[in-house]
Amino acid sequence: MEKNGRKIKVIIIIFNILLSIGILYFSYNEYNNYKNYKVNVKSITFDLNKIDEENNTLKQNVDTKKEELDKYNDIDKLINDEKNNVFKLASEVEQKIRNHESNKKIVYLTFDDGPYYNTYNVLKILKDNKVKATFFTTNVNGEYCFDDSSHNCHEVYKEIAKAHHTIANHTYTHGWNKGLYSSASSFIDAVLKQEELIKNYTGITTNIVRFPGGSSTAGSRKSAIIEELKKHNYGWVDWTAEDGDGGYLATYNQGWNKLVNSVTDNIEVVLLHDYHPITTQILPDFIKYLEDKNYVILPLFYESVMINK
Amino acid sequence: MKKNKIINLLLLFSIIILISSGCIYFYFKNNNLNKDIKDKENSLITKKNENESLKKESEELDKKIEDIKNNKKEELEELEVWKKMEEKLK
Repeated sequence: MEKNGRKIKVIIIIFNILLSIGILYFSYNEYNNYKNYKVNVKSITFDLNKIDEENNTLKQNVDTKKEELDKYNDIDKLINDEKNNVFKLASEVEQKIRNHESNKKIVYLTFDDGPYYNTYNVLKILKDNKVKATFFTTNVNGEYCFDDSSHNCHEVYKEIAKAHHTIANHTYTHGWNKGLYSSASSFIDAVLKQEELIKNYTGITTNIVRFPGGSSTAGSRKSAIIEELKKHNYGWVDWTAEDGDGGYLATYNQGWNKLVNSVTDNIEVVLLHDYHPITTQILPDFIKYLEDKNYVILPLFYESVMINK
Repeated sequence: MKKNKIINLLLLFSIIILISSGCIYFYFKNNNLNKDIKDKENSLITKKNENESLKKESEELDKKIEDIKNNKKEELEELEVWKKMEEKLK
């Protein structure tokens, strides 16, 4: 009995020892697993944070690019918005110049009596020099170019509009000596007819008029014509500087001297004609001259102080 | 003698119970950690997929922008001209 009792005791002790070893081993394993899991959790959390950060940056980039793409998709609107910004700012600057609060200088290059076939050359010069101008157009030369009858000059309207220059109205007939100024209604009829032509070719509605020969040519009818223009929401403008190409211009120097000597104020409206070969020669040098003199070259716009309303 | 044996046995059982408790504690803790790791791994996979698609979208947008820049070169140059005009007036 005593022997059996001892045996049982030994078995119990061995069992306990084995159980303890087993439990210890299991515990050790679990502890090791715990340590590994901890390391894994830390590493995955680090990866998660890193990829989260990267994703956030990517999302921002994608959003910025989408905005950029939207802008480019509507590039015409973007250009028009920018044009409006320029005109708004120019209007403010003009007021400041008039009030002697700014030393900025603005010049408006205007081309009368076109379009001509030579207008293409003028447009190229303006494009090469990144300059915008104003074209006072008339139909006096008819559909085909006066200076090259093998070309349809009405197509030039589209090129002027495409290049975002200002298209303005110089009347359909330009007949200053053929009854244009005989009455206010004859003048406004010629303006509205030219308006229709411009709209047909470009889709643009103009709101600036120049009297053929200048406003003084209208003589006693001037104020009645101006009233009619007001009724139709047109502004009008003469000029303050010129190279004389509307009259007899024989040489480059003659045109250059007249031009440079007439540009003296801080806001100038320069009269040129897009058919004249000497004007075409002078133009690139004149643009450089104006830029050297710190003039900002702009196309005319209705709100400009130079537009009489 | 008998009292000593009982004390020893009690001590032995206490140690076993203590170690067992630790073992059970780590076992459950590990279960939770394991679940946490699996969740995080799934989330990592999702985010990696999202990352890939964002990168792809970004590349596609770059390409579209590049195409537009090439196709609308003249318009962009035009925009630049007006921007420069604005700068000069400021």
